[in-house]
Amino acid sequence: MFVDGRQVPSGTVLETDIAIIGAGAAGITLARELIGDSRRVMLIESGGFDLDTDTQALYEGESQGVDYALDAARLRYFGGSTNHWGGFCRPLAEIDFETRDWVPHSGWPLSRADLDPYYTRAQAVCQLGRDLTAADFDDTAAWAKRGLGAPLPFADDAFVTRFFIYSAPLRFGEAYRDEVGRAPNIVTYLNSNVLEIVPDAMARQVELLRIGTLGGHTFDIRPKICVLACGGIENARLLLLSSSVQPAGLGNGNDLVGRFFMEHVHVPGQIALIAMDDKAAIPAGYNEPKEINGALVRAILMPSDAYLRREKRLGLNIAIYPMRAPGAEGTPEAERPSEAGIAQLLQLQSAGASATIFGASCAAEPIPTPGNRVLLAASRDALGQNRAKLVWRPTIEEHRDLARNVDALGQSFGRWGRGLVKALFTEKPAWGEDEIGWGNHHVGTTRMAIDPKQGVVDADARVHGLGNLYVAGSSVFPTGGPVNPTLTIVALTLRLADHIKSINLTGRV
Amino acid sequence: MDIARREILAGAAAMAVVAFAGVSGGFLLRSGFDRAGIADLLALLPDKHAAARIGAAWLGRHNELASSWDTLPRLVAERLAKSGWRGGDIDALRALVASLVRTDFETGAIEDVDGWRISRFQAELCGLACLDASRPKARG
Ligand SMILES: Cc1cc2nc3c(=O)[nH]c(=O)nc-3n(C[C@H](O)[C@H](O)[C@H](O)COP(=O)(O)OP(=O)(O)OC[C@H]3O[C@@H](n4cnc5c(N)ncnc54)[C@H](O)[C@@H]3O)c2cc1C
Repeated sequence: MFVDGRQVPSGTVLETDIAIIGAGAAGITLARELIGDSRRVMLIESGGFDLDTDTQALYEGESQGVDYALDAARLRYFGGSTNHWGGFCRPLAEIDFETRDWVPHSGWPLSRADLDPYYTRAQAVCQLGRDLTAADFDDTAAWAKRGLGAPLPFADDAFVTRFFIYSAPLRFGEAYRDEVGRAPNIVTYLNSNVLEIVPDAMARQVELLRIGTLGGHTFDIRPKICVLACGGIENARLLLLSSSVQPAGLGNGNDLVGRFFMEHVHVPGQIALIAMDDKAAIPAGYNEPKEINGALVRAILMPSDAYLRREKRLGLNIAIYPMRAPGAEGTPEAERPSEAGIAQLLQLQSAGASATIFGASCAAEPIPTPGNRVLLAASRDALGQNRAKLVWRPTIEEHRDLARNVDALGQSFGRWGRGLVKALFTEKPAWGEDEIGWGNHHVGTTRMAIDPKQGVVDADARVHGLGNLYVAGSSVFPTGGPVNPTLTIVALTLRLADHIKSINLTGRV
Repeated sequence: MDIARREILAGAAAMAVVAFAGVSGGFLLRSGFDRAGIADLLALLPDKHAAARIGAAWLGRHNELASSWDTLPRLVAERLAKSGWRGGDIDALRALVASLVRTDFETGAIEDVDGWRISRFQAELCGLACLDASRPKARG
């Protein structure tokens, strides 16, 4: 059932077993998992079924460092940011979960093996194609057999072929609206903004959620269990806004809420050009998504685990795009002479059919950095709430790491003998403004750690110190890996659903 | 003015030898270096002009090689000899070049020319093309 919060009389107090705040990828996934459960669920969503500019304006905020438009980087209505996501899906790798001595603050309290069964289920939720498992993201032999082309046969082990499998992209709101609406145990409150999560006087349990609408209605919901699923920036903002009992914000006893914000830097344009002796040397499966057995797949290059460990580097994913013949029309004037010479060097190495220039673009793993953070701004939104302020600037270590990975790419193609790389992204003393693009991935602001001094939530995603408050979404990732977060968000949410289903609520008030 | 020469001059004003070079080509092919395999090497490049441009950009940052006509050819000839090159057909030379290039990439002997990451041997080959194109006929 869907209820418009604007129709709920002010002063109403509602009770439920489980309250889920936010109906995006995480909130909808959790609600679906709880369909048919004996417990009553309330899904509380700020927006309606469509974009509304006044509601969307609640996402406006301030930024310091990178000029980051907070309202453009997410959507505030049923389905959340999946209403405009791109559908790129890939799980984090085993190494991404590990404590790596060269990545400060790295290490999850979970392993990839813990998440594997949930990844496979998450693939079904994101509708990535039938009969695929998490192993399919790395299985070069299987995709070659299915017609995607053989992986690039590099002579060294620095870069390996991996895969993105795409979601349609699935709009969670549209796809699952009817199912959630029909569920007898779920009531979804639309146009209902959680203003504060209020705990008891000792801040041990969440007691109630204060809800407000843009029309000025207010009502309360009293849950036995509460799950915060508002996205990677808003999760931190709402905890910081929940300050009536704990002035620093809920779960913020160790000043960690909002810190360690991470984004995937996508350098705008290309990081490198790759001149190949022959266009066919890079199979079409690398150049664009291919539909195979109902799945949309694309091959990418990633540094191997062995290389990352040996060189102590951050992860990276590289997509390859065909561009043009060397020196052809569209080539900047200054590039033409050297491209002809480079093509000749390649033809000398191996007489391929026709030299081609490819472009390589990338997304890089960020370093968890406490100074990159979400704070409350002094300015307020239409509900009277402090806006979010994002302080984010990629570090020089991240720049250096990426430049060195590009060098390694040049070495790998050179050793192979069929390609030569031009590095467009090179080591410099500082990031250039024009080098910083991003993926709209908001990671790390309520990081997961066993030790409350290191993280906001524990390994079950429960806020340290609070018995019944959980967080779902990429804000719990301690590190962001080098790939898009939503498949992992959904996998972690499925795991959280299993945990919540195992909780006995009898006797809880 | 020959483009390779113009680029060399722009890159390294101090290159005394190149300073009096005219438009020409073929010096190395006609010099004693042909016996050492250099002439065969250059013959692998159908478009010497394009190679010379890369060579010019590279030599522009290597005065020690650009300021003498024979240092680079001698270095390359030595490397070929060390690799066992005693002359042979063009396919064998291609294979040798491929293996020298691979070795360079393996060992990190990588040069940056206009951002292109090429092997040291590839750079040297282009450097030879540049020198060859820059040397005046009269002095050959
Ligand atoms: C342009 C773009 C492209 C992207 N492409 C990709 C991609 O290709 N692959 C990928 O993996 N990821 C991608 N992402 C990221 C992806 O959209 C997010 O990771 C994902 O949607 C996060 O899910 P979530 O449920 O945590 O948050 P959201 O989907 O953002 O949902 C949060 C929900 O909470 C609601 N809410 C917020 N505050 C409150 C409140 N106070 N009270 C009640 N409700 C509230 C919001 O209205 C929203 O519905 C992209 C994002 C953008 C912006």
